[in-house]
Amino acid sequence: MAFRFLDHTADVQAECRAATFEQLLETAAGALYAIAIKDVRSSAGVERMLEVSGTGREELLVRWLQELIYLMDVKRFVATEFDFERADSRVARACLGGYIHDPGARAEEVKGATYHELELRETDDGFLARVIFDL
Amino acid sequence: MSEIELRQLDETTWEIPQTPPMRVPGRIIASEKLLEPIRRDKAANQIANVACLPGVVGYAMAMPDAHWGYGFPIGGVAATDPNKGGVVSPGGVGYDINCGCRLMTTHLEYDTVKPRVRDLVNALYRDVPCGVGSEGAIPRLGRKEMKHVLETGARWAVKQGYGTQADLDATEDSGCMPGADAAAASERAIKRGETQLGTLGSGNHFAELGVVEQVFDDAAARVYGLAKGAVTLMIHSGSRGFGYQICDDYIRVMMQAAAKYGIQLPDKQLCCAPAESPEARQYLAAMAAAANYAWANRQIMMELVRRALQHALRISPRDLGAALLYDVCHNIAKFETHNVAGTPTRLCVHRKGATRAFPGSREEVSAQYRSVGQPVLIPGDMGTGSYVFAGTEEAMAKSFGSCCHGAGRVLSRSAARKAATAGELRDQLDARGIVVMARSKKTLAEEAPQAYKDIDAVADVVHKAGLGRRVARIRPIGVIKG
Repeated sequence: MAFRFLDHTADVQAECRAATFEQLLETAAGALYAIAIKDVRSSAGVERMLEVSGTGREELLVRWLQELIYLMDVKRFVATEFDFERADSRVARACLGGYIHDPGARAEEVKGATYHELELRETDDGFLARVIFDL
Repeated sequence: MSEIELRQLDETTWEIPQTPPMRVPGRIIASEKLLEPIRRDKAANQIANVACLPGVVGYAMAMPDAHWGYGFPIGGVAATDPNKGGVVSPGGVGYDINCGCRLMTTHLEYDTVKPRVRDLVNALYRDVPCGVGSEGAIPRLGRKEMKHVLETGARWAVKQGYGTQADLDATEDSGCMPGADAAAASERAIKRGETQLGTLGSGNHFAELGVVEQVFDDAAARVYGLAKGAVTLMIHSGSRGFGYQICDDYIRVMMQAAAKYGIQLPDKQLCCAPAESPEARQYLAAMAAAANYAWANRQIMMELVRRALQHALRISPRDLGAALLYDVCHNIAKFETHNVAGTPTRLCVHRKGATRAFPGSREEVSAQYRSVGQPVLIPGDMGTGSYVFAGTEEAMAKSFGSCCHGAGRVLSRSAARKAATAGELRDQLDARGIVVMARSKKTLAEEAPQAYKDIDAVADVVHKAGLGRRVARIRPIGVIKG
């Protein structure tokens, strides 16, 4: 699992690679937190269930990230562990472990995950996704 | 994306010829130099995409500060005709609904306050909540109060004691967009915004002390209350988490709506629905609610600024003389009547990173500005300057009464961070007599002056193209950022 950031004039584009779709969702979450949170911790004392639905993996990825953004903004929740019950082209459901970040621990304000130039495809090694976050 | 063909029409106008599936040509208002980055980052391609929207009228346009956005470029303008299947697109408004700015004039003279600028910036930094997730400016609102905010905007703030009627008279739409419906906003949007009212936010949002450095149009400057050497205060912020969630929620609705109405799109982020459809009406009602949140937000912050300056200088409101010149929104969709082939026609004008620039003949312009035209505020980067323009008849003819909203980015955030550290940047600004305080070093570096286009070059194009009449230039002296 790996992510990197590609240059973009106004916002940030993350490129994520993973062997499975579940791991891709986890990697994309990692990319989001790398942008938004200072010094992401590995603690996981808080649990939440998260379920998103979509009409394809691309939409599912964006909905997943938007839910995480909402939880980060409203509940200050950062997910560090992901236990998936289901992750296919229609539904992603996972038990998340994580922590409540300190009020001063935000690095960037992420307005949302966009569909702009969204790319998600299977590769020889698994999956690759590119998604632009609006900052 | 393929290279876009451009045809130069005059010194400041370039046309993207209409080729299928475009429904109208595209127009870019720029100098040859400003055109380079617009071509390079594919904003021109995005204008060609916008020209494909159903019911689009005239031209899809890019302003001189345009750069790549999602769906519409930032600095994009397009009008659709509801009577001809014209659509409404959240991508033509953006995440930060009614991100905008307001400029306040004061009785303060720069020469008098110069020794106290650092104290004033400290006072603003202390009293105006800023930074990612900033909250706590006013007590948490109950649902009933939140409904009033969303449906009455800046009027709610004035009723609570944040400012006066004169502020509303100097705000676009008097600080309240009609048609707002709190019920059109999701519970999530309310949750995301309920603690953020009266806060600046982060990123490119700022509160900036400035001095009127140059006056170009004496008559207009007199009407606007802009005198050389006078201290001003500009606030740039929007609808915070509330607006972002509205955009998120309705992008999903509009993607389904586009499929439902059989609308083919070159870019998913241009998702849309016919203006008269239930989906579009709901979006517009929610968008108006977010616009009102933003106006309430800026109104509260302006009052916090007034109090901070009065307290720091130990002067009365009368001595401070802080008066709102104008408040403009630059991410919005509005129904306006424009001349289309000689016929007054009701259009839905999308301005994403673009400002309304109406002449004095328009009834929408505040009474006090009818003799000179609507003030148009164009903030530049924190190290260079900002401009005040007046709206013109020519803008009505060329751009549906629209102008640019700022300087526009040229560098990515990572490139900006590599160009200078926050400490180096602070020293550079200090050497220019500009005090800056920011919650985030990372954000400060990302917002470095070199990350933005040359505001003087942008202003020059605006003036030459006739989208606005140059009135005054303001030089920054102190900035707070989130």
